[in-house]
Amino acid sequence: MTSKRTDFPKPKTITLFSTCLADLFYPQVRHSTRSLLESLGYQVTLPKDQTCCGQPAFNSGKWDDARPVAEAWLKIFAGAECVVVPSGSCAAMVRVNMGHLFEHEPKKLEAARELGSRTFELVEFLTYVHQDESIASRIPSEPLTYHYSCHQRELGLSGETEALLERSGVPCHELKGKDECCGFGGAFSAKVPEVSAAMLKKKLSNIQATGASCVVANDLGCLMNMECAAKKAGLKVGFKHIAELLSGKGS
Amino acid sequence: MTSPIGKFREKSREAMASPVLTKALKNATDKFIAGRTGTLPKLGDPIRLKDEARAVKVRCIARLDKLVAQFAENYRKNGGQVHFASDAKEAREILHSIAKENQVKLVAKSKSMATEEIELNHFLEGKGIQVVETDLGEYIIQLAKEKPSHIITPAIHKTKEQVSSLFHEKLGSPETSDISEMTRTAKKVLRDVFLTADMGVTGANFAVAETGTLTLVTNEGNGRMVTSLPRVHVAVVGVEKIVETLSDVPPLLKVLPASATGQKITVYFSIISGPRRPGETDGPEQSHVILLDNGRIDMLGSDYRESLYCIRCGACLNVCPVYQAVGGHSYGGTYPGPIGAVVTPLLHDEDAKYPAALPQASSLCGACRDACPVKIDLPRMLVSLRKDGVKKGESAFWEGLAFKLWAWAASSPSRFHFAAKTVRFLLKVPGLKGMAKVLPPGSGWAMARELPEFPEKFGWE
Amino acid sequence: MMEERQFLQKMTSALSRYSTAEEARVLASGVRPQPGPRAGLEDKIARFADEVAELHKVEVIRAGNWDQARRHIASMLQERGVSSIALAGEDLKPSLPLWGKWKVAGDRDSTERAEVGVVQADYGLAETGSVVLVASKDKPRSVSLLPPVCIFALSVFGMLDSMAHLMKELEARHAKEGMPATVNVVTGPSRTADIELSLTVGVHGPGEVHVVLVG
Repeated sequence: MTSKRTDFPKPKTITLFSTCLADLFYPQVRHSTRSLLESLGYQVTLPKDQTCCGQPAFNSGKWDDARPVAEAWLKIFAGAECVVVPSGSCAAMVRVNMGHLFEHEPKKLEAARELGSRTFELVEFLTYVHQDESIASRIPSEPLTYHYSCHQRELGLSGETEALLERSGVPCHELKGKDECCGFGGAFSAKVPEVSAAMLKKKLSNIQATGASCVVANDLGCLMNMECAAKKAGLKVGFKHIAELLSGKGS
Repeated sequence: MTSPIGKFREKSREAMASPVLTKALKNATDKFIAGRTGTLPKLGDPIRLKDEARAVKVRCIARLDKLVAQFAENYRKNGGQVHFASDAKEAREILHSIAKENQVKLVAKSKSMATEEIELNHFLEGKGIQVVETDLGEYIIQLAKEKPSHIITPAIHKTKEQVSSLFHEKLGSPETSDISEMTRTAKKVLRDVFLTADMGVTGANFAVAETGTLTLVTNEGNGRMVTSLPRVHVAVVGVEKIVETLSDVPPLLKVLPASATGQKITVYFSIISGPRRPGETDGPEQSHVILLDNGRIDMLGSDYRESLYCIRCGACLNVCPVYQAVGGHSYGGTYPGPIGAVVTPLLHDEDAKYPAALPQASSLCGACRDACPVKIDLPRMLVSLRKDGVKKGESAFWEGLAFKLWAWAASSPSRFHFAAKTVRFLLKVPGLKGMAKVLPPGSGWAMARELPEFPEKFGWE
Repeated sequence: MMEERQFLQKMTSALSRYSTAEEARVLASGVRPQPGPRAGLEDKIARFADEVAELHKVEVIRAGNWDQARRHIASMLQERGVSSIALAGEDLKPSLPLWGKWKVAGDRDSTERAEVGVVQADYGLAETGSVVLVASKDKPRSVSLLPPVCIFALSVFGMLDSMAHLMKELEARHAKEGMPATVNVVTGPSRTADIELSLTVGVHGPGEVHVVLVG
C-alpha cells in the first residue's frame, strides 16, 4: 500500500523497470519513460537483463513458476536507489505480492520488502516524489478520456493521473464507469473469454460515448486489451500510455 | 467442455444470452450503484467505520472458540437450547428431530443463507413437513423452484413480468405490472402461514456470546413474525457470526444495511435471547440454535480465516463486473459473487456445481475489496485458492505447459530475448498466426480482440 | 452427531494453526467499541423528530404528559373510525374507561383482528428515529406486529442517542437481571424492495406507524 510517499527523498538515479509488456509490444513506452525521467534531471539506468516481475504466473496460482522469475527480478534491481515502473500492476506485484512468494524465505522476503519500499508507479513517483505538476503542460492537446487501471487500487492510488490531465488543460472527457475493469485480468481474458468480452463491450461503448479520440491509462495490460478489442470492433480511437503523453513524444 | 471452468463458461454464456436476465441485472446494477456510494458517508467517515467494524471481527474471530463456548452457555442460561452441527447433514438431522419431537407440520422460514447452504427445505419436504419461505424474494424463488441469486435480494434476477406470471400460475392471482399489488398478494398468503406455522426457522446476522443473544436484521416483518408466533423457533447460525458483547454489534450493524441496501438501519432489528419468559403470551416456547461448522472451522485454521469476517452484506456482488455480467446462478452454488467465489471451494456446499472454477472467474480487479465494509482482501484469497488448485493438480495441461515455458524464458534474459524473437518470427509464417487464434490461449483472446502486433524492435533491441 | 467438546476442540486447534500480525495488534490494543458522546435531551428529541419525519414521512406528536398523550391517541383512533384496537404498556393503562369506545384485544386472536396497535415503547434512538420495545408479559410482541397500523408512545426520558447507547443499557440490564427474551428496534413501517429493487411500504409488519413523545 502506498502511504503517499512525500517523505521519499528525490533520488539522483532511477532504475527503470520497463515491464515485459512494454519491451515485447510497446517499446515506445519504455523509451518515453526513460526520456521523460531524464528530461526531469534524473540519471536513468535501464538494466538490460530485466525480463518480467513474475506477475502472470503469480496471479494464476503458478507460484513455483513465478518464483525464479521474481528472484531474477530482485537480483537485477538489487541496490537500486529508486525503481520507477510505468505500470500499476507491476508495482503492486513488487510491493504487495512478492512477499507472498517468499513467505518462507526470510532473506528474499526482506529483499522484496526493502526493494518494494523504493519502487514506484510512474505517476505516483511524479506526484509524490518529484512533486512538480508543471510536467502536465507537456501533454499534447487532443480530446482524451481516462481509464483507471484496477491495480492502482492495491497501491492506494486514485486521482493522481487525472490531476495531471486536468492541470494540463487538455480537453478530458469523463469516462462513465472509468474505474470499472476493462476485462483484461491477465489470463482471465483467455480463460473466461465470454465474460471478459462482455466487460470489454461495456468499456468500449462507454469510451465511444465520450467522443474522445484517445484513451489514456497507466497500465499496458489495459491498453493492449482495449486497443486490440477496439481494432476488432472497428472503433477508431487511439490508446496511449500516460508516459507517452508526458514525454511529449505522444502525438 | 467438462472442466469446472468450462462448466462455468457454459452457464455464463447461457446467462448472458438471456435478454430477460440481462435486463434484470442492468436494472439492479444501476440501482445499486446509485445507492451504494450515498449512505456510508452519511453515517460517518467511511474509512473509520470500516476499520472499527473490521477490528471487531478480527478480535472476535481470533477468540472464536471461547466465544462459541460462552454463547452456548449463556443461550442455555436464557432457557434456549444449543446444538452443534459439523456439516449440513447433521444440521438437517438435528432440525428435523426437533420438528418431529414437536409434531411440526408447517415451518415458516425467515431468510437465511445458512439454511440455503444446508439444503434444508428440500430435506424437510421429503420428510412430509411443509416449508414456506416468508421473505418476499425467497418466497418468489421458492415458487419458481430456484436458488437465490443474490445474498440480500434473492429474486433480483427476476423481472416484474416474470413475478406476475409466477404468481398467476402458482397462486391464481391476476397478471399485473403493479409491484405493490404483487407484494399484497404474497402478504395475504403469508399472513396465514405466520399464524398457523408450528415452527419458525431463521438464521442470525450476529450472535452475542456474553448475553446469549441472536440478532436479526429485517425489513418486512417476517423475521419478527416467525420468532413471535410459532411455538418452536430454530436458528441455524454459522459459527463465525458470534461476537463477544452486545457493544460489538453496533459497529457491524452500522455498516451492514448501508452496504447492503443503502439504508441507515433496517426497519426491524430483533434482539432475541432465548424463548419466552414465564408469563409472556407470545414468543416461542422453545428456542434452539444450531451452530454450523460445514467447513468454517478449517477455514478458521488457514489464511482464509479473513473470509469469516464477512457480514453477508452483498456489497461485493453489487460492484463485481463478473457478477453484473452473469448473475448469481452462474456461480453454481449457494453463495454468489466474489465472496461466493472464495467460500464455495472451502465450505462443504453440497449444491456447488463447479467450485474449482470460481476462483478463476475473476479479473482480480479489486472492486470487491474496496466495497467491503470490513475490508476483506478477496483478491488475495482468490489468488491463494488458485495456488491451492494448482497444487491439487486442478490446472489444465496446456496452461501448466505454457507457464513452464514462460518461466523458463522469463527467468533468463537471453532465453527471454530468444523466445520473443522466435515467437515474432513464427507469427509471420502464414497459417501460424491463424492457428494462434484458434488454439488456446489465443482462441480465448481472439474472441473479442485482434492479436497484438509485435514491434520491429523489442524494447531491448 | 458432533460432540460439543469435539467441536470446541476442533476450533481451538484451528485457531492455534494460524495467526496474523493484525490480530496480535488488535488483541494487544484492548480497544473496544465505545458509544459516541451523549447529547442533551432537547437535542436528542429534535434529532429523533427529524429522523422520523424523513423516514416515516410523519411528524412526531408531542404530548406534555401521559394523560394528554392518552387523550390524543384516543382522538386519533376516533378520527380513523376504527372499532378494535390492541393496547400494551403500563402508562397506556388499558383498563381505563377512556378506551371504552373500542374493543380492546385480550389475546393473540383478537390482536390479530385489531385495526390499530398502541404500544408503549421503552426507549427511543435519536440517531435513526427508532423506537425500542422490550417484550414482557404486559407487552406482548404481537401488539406492535399484527395490526396494520401502530401508534408508539414513548416517554422522552427513554430517549437514547444511538444503538450503541442502547446496547450499553441492555448490558447493564443483563448484568442486573438477565436479558429480556426479545427486544425489537423498530424504525418506520415495514417495507420491501425484493421485486426489481422497487420499494413497497407495508408488508408483514405495520404499514403505517406514528410516534407520540410524552414529556
